[in-house]
Amino acid sequence: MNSQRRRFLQTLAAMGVSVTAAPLFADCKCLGGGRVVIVGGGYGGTTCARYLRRLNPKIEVLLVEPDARYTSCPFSNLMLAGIEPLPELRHDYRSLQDDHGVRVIHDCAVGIDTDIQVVKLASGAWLTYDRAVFSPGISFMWDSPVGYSRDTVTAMPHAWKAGRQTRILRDQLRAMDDGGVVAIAVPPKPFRCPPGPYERAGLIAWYLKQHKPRSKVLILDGNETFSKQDVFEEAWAQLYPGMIERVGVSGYGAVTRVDPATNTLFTETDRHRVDVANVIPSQQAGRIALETGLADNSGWCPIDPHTFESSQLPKVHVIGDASIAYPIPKSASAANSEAKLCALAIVALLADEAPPPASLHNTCYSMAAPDYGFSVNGIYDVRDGKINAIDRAGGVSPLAAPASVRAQEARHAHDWYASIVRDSFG
Amino acid sequence: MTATRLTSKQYAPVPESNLLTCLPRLLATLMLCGVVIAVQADDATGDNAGLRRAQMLSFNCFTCHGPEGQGSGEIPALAGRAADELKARLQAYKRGTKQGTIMNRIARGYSDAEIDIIADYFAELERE
Ligand SMILES: Cc1cc2nc3c(=O)[nH]c(=O)nc-3n(C[C@H](O)[C@H](O)[C@H](O)COP(=O)(O)OP(=O)(O)OC[C@H]3O[C@@H](n4cnc5c(N)ncnc54)[C@H](O)[C@@H]3O)c2cc1C
Repeated sequence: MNSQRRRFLQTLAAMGVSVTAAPLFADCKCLGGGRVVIVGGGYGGTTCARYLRRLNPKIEVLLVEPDARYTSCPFSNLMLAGIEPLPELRHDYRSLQDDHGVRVIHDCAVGIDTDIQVVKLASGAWLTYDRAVFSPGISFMWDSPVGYSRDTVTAMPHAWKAGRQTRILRDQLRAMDDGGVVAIAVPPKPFRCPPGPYERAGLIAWYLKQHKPRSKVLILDGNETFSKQDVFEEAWAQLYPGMIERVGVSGYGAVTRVDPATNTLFTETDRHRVDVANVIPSQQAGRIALETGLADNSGWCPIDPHTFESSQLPKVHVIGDASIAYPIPKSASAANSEAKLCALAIVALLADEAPPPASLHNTCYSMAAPDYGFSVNGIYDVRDGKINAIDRAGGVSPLAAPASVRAQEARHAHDWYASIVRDSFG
Repeated sequence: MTATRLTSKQYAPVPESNLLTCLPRLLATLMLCGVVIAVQADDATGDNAGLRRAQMLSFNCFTCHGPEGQGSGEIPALAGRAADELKARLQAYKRGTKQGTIMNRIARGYSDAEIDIIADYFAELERE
């Protein structure tokens, strides 16, 4: 017995765990099953859990997620603008547990030991696995911009994880006087949901136009170009002439420092004292991915795109925002597609069979107004070990489309949301 | 019913030392393997690789077209539709003879062989 295993047994004993032989049967691959521990109950983790159970109900799936309820970032920009009520964003884990046989454990993963294949939880419990899947989403890089920290998120909400933060930003928008300036500070890429800040700008403008028409939206951008730029700019010019101003990185738009006491955003050349400051900080993989060594120096997790197995740790897969899946953007749609690929790969690997050839998909809808939607999408395969965007496919909704088409895509965005929520949370 | 909290006892791992005590059970299980693998829980009827390839391609459609292709609002159901009809539609989107909001951009991403696989897969799914 190696020392690690001895320590593991000692810990078990210290925890007062009585060990029986019974779970051996459940864990035995020979029954065509196995045990998969999934960390993170967002779009990636829930989809993976549901599809593993769908593909092979003999696989025991444990989903670790601290919160009893998930709040969706997709559609949270509509909630900010007062278009969508908050309950529409909330999803629980009951169906996964009751209808799909996923064992949902409301706890937080704090570590992993790949030698003895256990995920360690904050409560002290250890979960053995044949395969582990991490979908922990993102964490924020504090002090990027300088002065932005956990203590300033109430004064200058990011609302880049939905829930309380979304409510704070909405309340600030409601409390603002007509004629005010709402700033959105966009970090340099990569960040979750590349079109998200610009969808937010348009929907805030929609709200302001009705309730505070002399107000403005100022986008201070750490990037030169952005996703669906032409279609966004066409929509803004049409719907909100003069209301949205954007400064890109070459015009010194990147916010380098903030002062929450005076609601001031500093760029290299300017200072902007604003009424509402929505500061989206720089991002990296969820903290647990950094602490376990799943992430590399970039702050994101390298993976083998055929299976989304970590390049750093064996038998551990990373999906969703935390993974490096370039050129696929960090979106719920992508996390959902990666989760299905990962589930299919795991089912094959647990049966000692080859994973099927990879095929991935992403569709992101954005809205510029409740009846004005458009989309960007991509289809991907894997070539020479790299994710490849199939170049004759994908792209952005056309410019100068008739209003009826924009309205149709807005309705499709709602249908997409209803569909992906069922596809993930059951 | 709300999610019940599991105690650590319920999901405690089995240490190596216990392998000995349950060896007879393990052996019995191993002997069953040959039989069990053939009827692995899946909608598989033998050709696992073919089925998994079809699932890899088609599961992506569920994201918008509803789980199991049952449709979502205006986004049409795909389950249970005739394979020929689905193939003709996807080919029309791919070649641009039919105009959709997004389907042309999607269909162009798949080879003719993949379109056939996807259409056949949905034709086999039941419309609930
Ligand atoms: C404003 C906004 C709008 C967006 N709109 C869209 C859209 O329209 N379409 C789209 O496709 N995408 C959209 N996105 C992006 C989308 O939200 C993310 O890409 C998606 O949530 C990624 O899924 P994930 O599983 O990687 O992470 P998440 O959904 O963030 O889930 C991570 C989960 O892991 C849990 N977790 C973290 N650490 C631990 C731990 N140590 N132990 C256990 N659990 C842990 C967290 O509690 C969380 O529930 C939007 C994002 C934003 C911010």
